[in-house]
Order: sequence, then structure tokens, then C-alpha cells
Amino acid sequence: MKKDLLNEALGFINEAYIHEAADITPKKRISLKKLPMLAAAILCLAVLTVGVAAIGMRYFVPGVGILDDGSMSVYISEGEIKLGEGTIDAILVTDYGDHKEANIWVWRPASMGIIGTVDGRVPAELDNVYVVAADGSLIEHRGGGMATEGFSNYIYPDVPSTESITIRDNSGNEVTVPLTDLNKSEYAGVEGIRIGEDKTFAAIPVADSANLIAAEFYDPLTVELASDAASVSAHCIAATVTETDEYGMIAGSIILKGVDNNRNGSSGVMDVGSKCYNKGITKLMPKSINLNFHYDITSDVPEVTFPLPEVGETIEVDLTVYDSEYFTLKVTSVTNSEEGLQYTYDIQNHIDDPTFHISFFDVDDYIYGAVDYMNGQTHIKNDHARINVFNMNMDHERGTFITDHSDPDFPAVPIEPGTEITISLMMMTCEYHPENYNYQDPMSNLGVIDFSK
Amino acid sequence: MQDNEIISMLEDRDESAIAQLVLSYGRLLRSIAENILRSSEDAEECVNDALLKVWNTVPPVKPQSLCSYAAMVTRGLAINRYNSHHADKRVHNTTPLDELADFLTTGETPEDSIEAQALAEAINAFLAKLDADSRILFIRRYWYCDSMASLASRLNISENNLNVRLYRIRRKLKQHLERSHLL
Repeated sequence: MKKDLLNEALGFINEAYIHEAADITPKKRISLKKLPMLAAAILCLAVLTVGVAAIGMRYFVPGVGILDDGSMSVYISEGEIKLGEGTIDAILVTDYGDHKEANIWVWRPASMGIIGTVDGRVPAELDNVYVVAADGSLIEHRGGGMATEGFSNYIYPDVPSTESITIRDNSGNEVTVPLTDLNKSEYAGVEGIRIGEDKTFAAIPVADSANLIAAEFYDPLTVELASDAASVSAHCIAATVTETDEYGMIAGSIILKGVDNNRNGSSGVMDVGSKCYNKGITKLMPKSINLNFHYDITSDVPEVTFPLPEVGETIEVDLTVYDSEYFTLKVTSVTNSEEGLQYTYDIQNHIDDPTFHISFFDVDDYIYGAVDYMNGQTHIKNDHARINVFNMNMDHERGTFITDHSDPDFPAVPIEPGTEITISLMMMTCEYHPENYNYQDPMSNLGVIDFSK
Repeated sequence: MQDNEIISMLEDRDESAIAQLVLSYGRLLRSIAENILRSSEDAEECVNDALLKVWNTVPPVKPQSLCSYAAMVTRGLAINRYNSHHADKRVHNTTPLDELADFLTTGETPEDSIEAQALAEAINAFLAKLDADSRILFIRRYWYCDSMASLASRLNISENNLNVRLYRIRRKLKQHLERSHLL
């Protein structure tokens, strides 16, 4: 649905509802009538102790990620680029063989509401940036996004050359920027740090600015888990270091701004704090990395059934609602309480990593039954309709359920105890803490990325 | 001060009505603008514009609820301002409205023929049938554009919990709109 249409419609929302919601206080707090309780045992978070070793053969490219040497060719601009009155932080062209893609990074703090000069830097107020094609036509960006602190990157999916790139702004200012093979640039061989078996954390200053840090995290399990997820959010806390004491110990650590980044799970690399603006960082230490995988499950989960207990009754069941190589999720009992249906669960984690666990999930419960009613002018008739039972409208006097279809056009369906209820997994969120360092103990820091070298 | 007293002051062209309006609802209006614009400076300007618009429109408008009216004016101005800042669409910020619009997107949407008024009526009918808690949740998220974190905090529930609640409400709204042939 188009956002403009939706927005216009929301402009006509009944004023009473707006007033009703104007002041929400704990008195109006929402009580969930059915919240699956997680087994407490899964919340065990182990602190892994792993060694650190420099990673060779991999390097980190801002906007692209950590690359295996030779997997693709990357060309990068060196130094800031002036375009009219604006400044472009970095241009990066990746040659994928069949096409060449450009990433252009621009600092536009006004887009984040940051007005004026920041730390002496004059922000770019470019209305648009085009890449000039070989025939002189203008190539518009096809994607991109806004990072923290007003950094934006624009993606141009097919640019003509890896030797140089010509860009133009709205006012017709144009500049041709030579590109350097990354392997021959100052970023060649940038080392990440190994923070666990096959896990890498890498960060580099972007272009020639030590204030602009891009950081990413790579780990095969993360990639695997992310591949099926509807969305992934990553949160990284790292310490930035601006100085060391006389013994070379780290002094004056501060927390690098953590970034939540929603990213489609198809990506192989998680951004965990990219493009943060911090003044004078010389070193960076990863402190903790938390990942959340959100799964909207619509297929490939079994439907399981149980007879609706009497109100107040609990029945023991053994229903597998999800079974994968990662874990098995079972419903072990169902209680028909005054509040609605309540389930207890058993989760068997098959991954030998206690920092990976299911943090939340929910099941859909429904019956299959016949419906035959008029919805306006439409006759709805289905002998095997899936009718959701959200448990919000209990009929305590009769001790029966009524479906959640409070629409008067949709008939309420009474459900007697003994009625076969079907459930299936609807969504779940998994948490993964690949590393969790002891932030309080500077000696426990397992790796430092030194930008000053 | 009661709404009707402030409205009377507005009708009398008493400029202290604006101060009273700020006293009563300034914080709310500010939060609406900030939720949408994510910038305190922009939000402040937006609220000032909204106050001016309320001053210029009351009278002749005589709102039943001054709070709702001022909130609607603020929201409209904030969204206009947001759209104006992002007109080139090169930044991909996700707003609560995007979240809802995306969820309500189907491959067969006859939305070109849908009028906002009809959609609004359907949404109002849907909200009327929702329980109060769910309705407040919906309005706070998609009308006031509260962030997930702040809404979860205000309601004293986890973000995951909130996510599930919103997912269910969105799904019910989608079903409602499909039954109303608006999707």
C-alpha cells in the first residue's frame, strides 16, 4: 500500500482515538493475555574465552564488507573529494566480473537534523550525486541508505570503469576521481582480529578520515542463521581509544556508538557499527556483539493439534512445533485458564554454542471449521476455514471460546471443550552473542585494531 | 485549564491562549514532531508552525478536542516537513508508517482506485472493534509514530512482546481491509 495513501487516511482517524492514546500511563499498560513463557534455562550466556590472531588473506572494504582475497576486485578513491561546495568522503567501485558497482559516501548531517559545521568539517549539502556514463549521460543512484550521524551512501549498480569515475552534482559541478586498486592502496591487507573460531571483527577508518569508522563482523554461523531470517539486527559495543598511558595500557576508553542495523538476511556480513563519527579514534576494541534474528514463519512448520481442555484444566502434550538442525521446540502442556490458553514449552538447542538461543516466539492457534455468512454484499462460505482463536474474547459463563473475530459481519464461533485446536509456530526471534567481553576489565580485551599504524 | 476555556481565548483572539496550549499540550506536540522528524530543532520549528496554524484556524474551526486537533495539525506538518526533507528518496529511513504500509502491500492492491476517505472509514471501523489496549497501541505506533523502544518502555513491556502485539494488530487490519475489498 502506498504510504501517501495510508498517511492521508490516518489523517482522518477518529479524534477520539487520538485523544484516547494521547497520554498513556502504566495504568493503561497492555497486559498480554497469552505470553509463551520461555524456559529459563535457555538464558544462560557464556562468556567465551578465545585467542586472538591476526587474519591474513581477508580485508575489509567499507560498504562492501570483509572480502576474501581475490573474490572480487575493489577500487577506491584516496582522500576526500570536493564536488562544488560539497565533500564526498569516499568512492568505492567493486568489479564483480559482469558489472561494476559504485558506492559513494557523503556526509550530510543536515539530513539527520545536525545543523552547521561539526568539528570544523563543512557538511556536504549535495542535492544529488550522479555518475557520468561513458556517453555523457547521467547515472542515478539506485539504492543506498543512511548511516549514523548523517553519513549516506549511494549505490550505482553499473558504472563504466574501475580506473576512474566522473561524478556530477545538481549544479553541474563535475570532477573525475582516479581510483586505486585496493590491493595497492593504503588499505591493502587491513587486518581484522579473530574474536573466535572463524569469527572476525574488522574496522577501518574510511578514506583518510580517522573520524569515520566502519566496522563489520563476520562469522559463518551468523551467515547461516541470517539466510532464513526475515530481518537481522546487530548491535555492537566497542571501546574507542584515543590515548594510552605510559605503560602502553589503554586509557580513556569510551563506548563507540552502538548501532542497530536491520539488514536483509541474504547478506554475508553484518554491519555492526559502520560509519560512526568519532573524533580522534586511534584504536578500537570490540567489547560485545549481539545479533538478533527475527523469523516470520509462514511455511515449513508442522500443524499440531490438541483437544481444548476445560476451563481451569491443564493437559500434558508432546507437540513438536518446530524442528531444525538448530533446535527443537515442543509444547509440553496446555492450560485453559481464565486468561486464555497458556502453553509451556521445551526447547532443545542443538547448536554447541550456549550464546545462541531463542529469545522469543509465538504460536498461532486456530480451529478449522465451516463458515457461512455475508460480509457486506459478499457471501463467504467455506467448509474448512481456518478460524483464528486469539483468546481475547472468552466466554467464561459458558466456559467456551469465541473467536477473536469481533467484526459483526463475521460470526463468532463457539468452541466447546474437547474441540480440536490446531497450533503452529508463527514467529520467533533468536539471539546470538558470538562474543561478550568483560567490559570492566581492560586486560580482557582480546583484540585491538590500531588505526595509528 | 480546560479545552473549552482555551478555545474561548482563541476565539477572543487572546494571545495567552497559545501559552496555555503549550502548557497543556506542548510536550505531547513536541513528542509527535520529534517522533516523526527525529530532530529536536526541526521538531521545535514544527510545533511553532502548528501553534500558529491552530491560532489561525480556531476560529472558525471549533474542535471537540483541542488536544486531538493540535496533535493532528502537528502530525500533518511534521509529515510534510519529513517528506520535504526526503523528497529525493535517496535515504531509506524506515518509519512506523513504512512498516504498516509495507505490511499492507499485496500484489493485487486496487489502491489506485481507493480513496483515502474510504480507507480511513475502514480503519476507523477496525479501530472501533479493537479492544482499547490494542487501539491505543496502534495509534501510538502508527499515528504518533512512537519508536518501538519508547513505546515498549512506556507500556512496560518488552520490545519483542510489543512486536508480536503489533504484528497481530497489523494482521487483523489486513484481514479487515481484505474483507472490505480495500486490499
